[in-house]
Amino acid sequence: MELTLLQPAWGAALLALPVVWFWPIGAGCRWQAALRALVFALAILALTQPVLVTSAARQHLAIALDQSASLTPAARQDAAAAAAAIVAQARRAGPDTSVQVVQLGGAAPVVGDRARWLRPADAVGAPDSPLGDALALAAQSIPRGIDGRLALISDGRATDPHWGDALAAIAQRELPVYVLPVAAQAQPLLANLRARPARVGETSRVRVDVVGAGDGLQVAIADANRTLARSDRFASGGRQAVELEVEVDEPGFVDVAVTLSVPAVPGDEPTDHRLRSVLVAREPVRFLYLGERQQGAAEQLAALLGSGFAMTEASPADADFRDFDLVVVDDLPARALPEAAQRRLLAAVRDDGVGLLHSGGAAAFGDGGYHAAPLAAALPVELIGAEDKIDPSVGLAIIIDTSGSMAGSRIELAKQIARVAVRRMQPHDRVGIVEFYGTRHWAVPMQPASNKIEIDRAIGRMKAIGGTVLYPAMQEAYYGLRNVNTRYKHILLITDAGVEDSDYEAMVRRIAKDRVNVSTILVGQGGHNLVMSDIANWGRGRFYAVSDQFSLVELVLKQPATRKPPRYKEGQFATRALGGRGWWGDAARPPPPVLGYVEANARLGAEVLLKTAQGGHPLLATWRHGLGRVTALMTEPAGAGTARWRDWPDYGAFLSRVLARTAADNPPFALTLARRHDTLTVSALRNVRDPALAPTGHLVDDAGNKLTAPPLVFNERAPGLYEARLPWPRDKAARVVVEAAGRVLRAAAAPASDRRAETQVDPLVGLDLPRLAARTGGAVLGSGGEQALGGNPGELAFVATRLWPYLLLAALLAYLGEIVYRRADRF
Amino acid sequence: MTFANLPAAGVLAGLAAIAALLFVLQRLRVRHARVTVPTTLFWRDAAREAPVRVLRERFRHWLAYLLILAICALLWIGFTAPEFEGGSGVRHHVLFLDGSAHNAGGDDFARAVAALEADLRTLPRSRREVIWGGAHNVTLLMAGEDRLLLAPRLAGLTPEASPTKLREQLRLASIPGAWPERVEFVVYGRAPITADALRKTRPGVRVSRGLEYAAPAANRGIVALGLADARSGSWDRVDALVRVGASDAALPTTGVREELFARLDDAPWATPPDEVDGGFVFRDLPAAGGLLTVALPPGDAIALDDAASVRLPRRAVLGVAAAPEVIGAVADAIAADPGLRLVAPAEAAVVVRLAGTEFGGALPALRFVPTDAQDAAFLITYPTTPEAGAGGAEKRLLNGLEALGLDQIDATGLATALGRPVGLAVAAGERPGVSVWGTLLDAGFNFTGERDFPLFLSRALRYLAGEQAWPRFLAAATPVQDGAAGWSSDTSPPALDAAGARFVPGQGSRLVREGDWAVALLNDAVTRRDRGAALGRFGGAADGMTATAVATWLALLVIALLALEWVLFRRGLMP
Repeated sequence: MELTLLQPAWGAALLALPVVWFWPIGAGCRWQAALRALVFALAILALTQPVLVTSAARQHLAIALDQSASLTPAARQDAAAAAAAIVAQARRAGPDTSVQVVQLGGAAPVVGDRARWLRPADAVGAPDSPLGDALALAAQSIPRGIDGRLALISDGRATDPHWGDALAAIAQRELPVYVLPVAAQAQPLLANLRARPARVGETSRVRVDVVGAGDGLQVAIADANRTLARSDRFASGGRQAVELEVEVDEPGFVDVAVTLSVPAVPGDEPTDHRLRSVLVAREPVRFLYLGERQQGAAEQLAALLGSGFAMTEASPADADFRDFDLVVVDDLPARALPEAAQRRLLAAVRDDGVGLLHSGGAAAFGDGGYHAAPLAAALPVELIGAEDKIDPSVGLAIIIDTSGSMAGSRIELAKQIARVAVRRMQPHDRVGIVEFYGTRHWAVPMQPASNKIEIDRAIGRMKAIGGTVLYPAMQEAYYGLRNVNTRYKHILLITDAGVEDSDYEAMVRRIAKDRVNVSTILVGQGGHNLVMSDIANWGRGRFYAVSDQFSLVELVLKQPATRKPPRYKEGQFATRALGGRGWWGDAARPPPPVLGYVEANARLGAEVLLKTAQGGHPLLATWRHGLGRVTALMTEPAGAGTARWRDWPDYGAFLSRVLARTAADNPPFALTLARRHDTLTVSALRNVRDPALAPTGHLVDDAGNKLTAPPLVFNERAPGLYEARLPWPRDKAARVVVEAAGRVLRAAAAPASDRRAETQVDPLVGLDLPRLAARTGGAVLGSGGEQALGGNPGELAFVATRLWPYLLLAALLAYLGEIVYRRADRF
Repeated sequence: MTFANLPAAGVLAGLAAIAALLFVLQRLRVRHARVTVPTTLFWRDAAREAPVRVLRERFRHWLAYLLILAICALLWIGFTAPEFEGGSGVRHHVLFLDGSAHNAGGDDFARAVAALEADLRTLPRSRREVIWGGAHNVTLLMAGEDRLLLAPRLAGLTPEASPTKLREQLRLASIPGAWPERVEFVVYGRAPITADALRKTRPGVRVSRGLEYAAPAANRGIVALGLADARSGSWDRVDALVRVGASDAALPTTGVREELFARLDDAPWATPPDEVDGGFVFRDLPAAGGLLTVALPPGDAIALDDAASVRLPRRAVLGVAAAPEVIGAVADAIAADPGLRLVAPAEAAVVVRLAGTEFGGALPALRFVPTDAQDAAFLITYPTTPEAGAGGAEKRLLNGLEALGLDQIDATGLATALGRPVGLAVAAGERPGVSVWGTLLDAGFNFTGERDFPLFLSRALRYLAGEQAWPRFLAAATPVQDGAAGWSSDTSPPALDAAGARFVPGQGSRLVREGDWAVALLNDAVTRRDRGAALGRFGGAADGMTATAVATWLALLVIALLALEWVLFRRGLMP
């Protein structure tokens, strides 16, 4: 308890009270003077305005009462009656309990005239029932520190989901919430519209839930001009997911509306079964066209694919494949696509998700040379045909040390080794022998290995004489090999290691750099020699030690291989289509016959989309390769094999779909838009590894024009996660364009995307009333609402009592007493 | 005018009663008394000793009566505690005490409280209320409550590490019916409000500032602290980005690497951060659930933004055992995920197997079942909990597609290939489980070759292992956006969900959810000391008079009249 004087200075006037006795002198006795002094004293004390502050069992009850249009009329009445009962019960508890009713919607306040009667409306004036706002106001009305509790009488169907803040406040203040669920209208409605951004030419899948029971329902999606897709009529038993597929023609944004047709029932109020959305059509597929054989193929492809594809032509050697979503290798022989470029292309597919369409006929898959090429291993098909053995050619220069130190068994051993090496060679190989004995000399000039008899005789003529000068002999062998056109080139040095000192390293490394290997054979010693092993090492060859004729070595100078040359079949071949609508869309199936294709087998795990009707050879197959996708078309998309397809009306759409699905789908950022009232939050999560990549962007208006205000300023919140917050009117669609790594990304939010119409609220995404009560320590009330609503004692529950009115009342009584006393002699 | 202690009718009735009483007293008739006197010489004395008394005499002394009546009426009215509120169109006042971090510099808060208390004395109490604008807006003083209650309710309140909720308050105030038609919000503090927000207030809402502020002192603070997968690729490590903002270009925000102090739980984090474009990145922090706190040296205007904390996730490579019959289908996807590792069943946390086999024993399993074993292609089993609330199964069904990445799968294509609908179902069970039609593993469907099959597999296995999403950052009062979490699965209870809403507590510098998460202020506007749009200075109530002022004038008037009446009485001029 604490007594406070609001105007304590006036208390000094009490000092003047004795004056009443002495001035003015006249009528009245001392009792009367005493009474008058009392009146003065009480009035002066009232002037000081004393207030008594005491702790009290102060309580506050806040009631959020839903009277919105989503309730049935009977439920509205029940809710009002329950609220009235709760208020009456609180008032019976005494004056220390205060009540605040927050009514949401309705035609008039239904519980008392001091209720806060919220009449929110959306942008077009339709009634709105943001339960979160009602809860926020109800919770806010409970003063800090007193025993408060909330009662929520509602169907839980909030027209916006922004009740998190109100719940956070309730949870932090430990306010118990008592709930009384009431019935909502049960008409079928649309909810949870979800549309995945699609590329031009792709199918955008639009999913929507139909909530509520009904027969003969139908969902349709339409843009401003026409209906884009429509479902069959169906029956819903409570919740039915419906998926519609929409193709978008141009990159950008498409405003659409999804409508639910419900057969009219006499007597029912018409409802708005419509949800608005903005579909996002992504940028065209950026693809690199590599093809040179088919004249005009690039132009034909561009015409077939339309605006959904942006074609670039470049040299494979110069192109950075990672800059593209897709690379089309069309009827290109392997020789036109260097092995290094193939490896870069495969790395881009595997590591960066770039798509690859490899198409072609005989020139590419026939004798195009892809059998042993790196690219072939990534194809979803295996080329078939008669198996041929491939024995790559080799050019061999043998250097034999015929110096004096080699006399005797060593020179004979060296000759033996040379003969063994020559014997293993094929007729298309080339061989030459250089001997060094103080000078260099071609004992056998470079010649086809088919002259084995002549070569053998030349080896037999060698004798060990003279000194040892290796360096010029190696130079001679190197220059001799340079003019030889074989797949592999090799220098074989046979010596006893008694060679002069020289700068072998620089020379041998240079030789190796020109893809000529150098191997060394140490004869006679049977041990190790550092110079010989170093030369072999620098020359990327091998070092051998041969001590006698019983330890001759097998020289492996090349690896024979096999290949399966494919067969290019010409004729008229009927086709058979496989795979789902994802690949084919609405294209008529099967396509017309092909006039030529390369026979192949599908690899295990590959998805065959088109094959020949007879023989079942795959014409179009696809599979994943690392992060990317590889699709093989076993004929020329713009060549002779598909000549009949040019008259197929769906060819362009089908090819677009195949290319789009093959192309990379890893935009540098994943965009998310979130709207909260008039604030728009744009989140961009980086998908690629480049840490320096940051998004920039802007909003566009309905016509697609760039807006300079409000600016889209991204701040990095976490590594790779950027956010921009900006004011944006709730009733306007938000269309965001973000640019990063040379790509244009789009995201959109429909007008008022964070709210639903009164009759379009999915009960599953509404406020979960029982859970709310359980989490806050409240309870679910009975239908009448009459139940004790407990709270938590407030630590700051005080009551202030103004004492001055009572002092003035006392002064009045004293004054009247004095009057009566004054009249006493008249009684 | 209103009366606190009586209704208007009671006031009038009391006045009438007083007037009547005084009227009666005024008309008391002289009563004749018989007095015997020895001589007429003493007649005058006798007349004085025995005056004429009547009970009902003629009403005389109008002026005296009116004077007494005025005194009594004023005292009576004083008792009823009148207050002049002004006319019907008078403005209601909401005094908004800024308790956000914006008002935490220097003596800003103390000045705001003093100014508010001064203005409070001048406003009729039925026409004013006080709201605390901290992490949550709370009433401090209701309309009609005595201003003396403000002091105890302010006890212990200091500015909180939260952004201002002034904009939200004005939005609520603009809902028709939430406040009286004409209302003025008087802001006591530096909380900024944008011109856009002011434009959007409904007509009748006025916003002013209770006191003037000089230019704010310079400030520097942490405006971003967020997590991401480690750039090094280590699954059990994360990187943390720190950005520093300032109100004044003179205060450096880059190149301050040496000033940043980081602590992981109780130990300093010795590895200095990398300086990246506009920020600093602490690399390879252990994802073991520790609390990372980053701080700047104190000494600037606002201390609340000098430190920020974030709870690191708990992540370990998940051991997955795959039965021989299915390993071919899932091995590539598991190998591509750095958070998954193929192990023997004895070391596994989850298994992938065909239904009907015992591979992996009782471990949570992703099962591939015969097509006729379940109606839906995908069946998610979830453990029942009281937390799930009503409609738990349906809600999980609603979110299951997205949560497991199934919305990215070409369900239509699969359905066409299978010749039957591909659907999702959920069911309650003792433990988590995911069952999928084994037919989908056939090469012809290319389900395992779908672009998003690895995503489905990853999320399904993590759901089975009981892993939960982790937010990349938690800024006070900032909603968690999709994509702002390490992974999202609504099939498990969301970390910050309450009754279907995701929210982040409004106050930073604190741990929530039993310490599971740390919320930090991380607000650019606070650190930059944004001033917002210019607001007019509050000019006080245009009309009306408070109860205390009325009481003062009443009491003074009464005392003056009493003195006058006393003088008149003493001089015999009053009856």
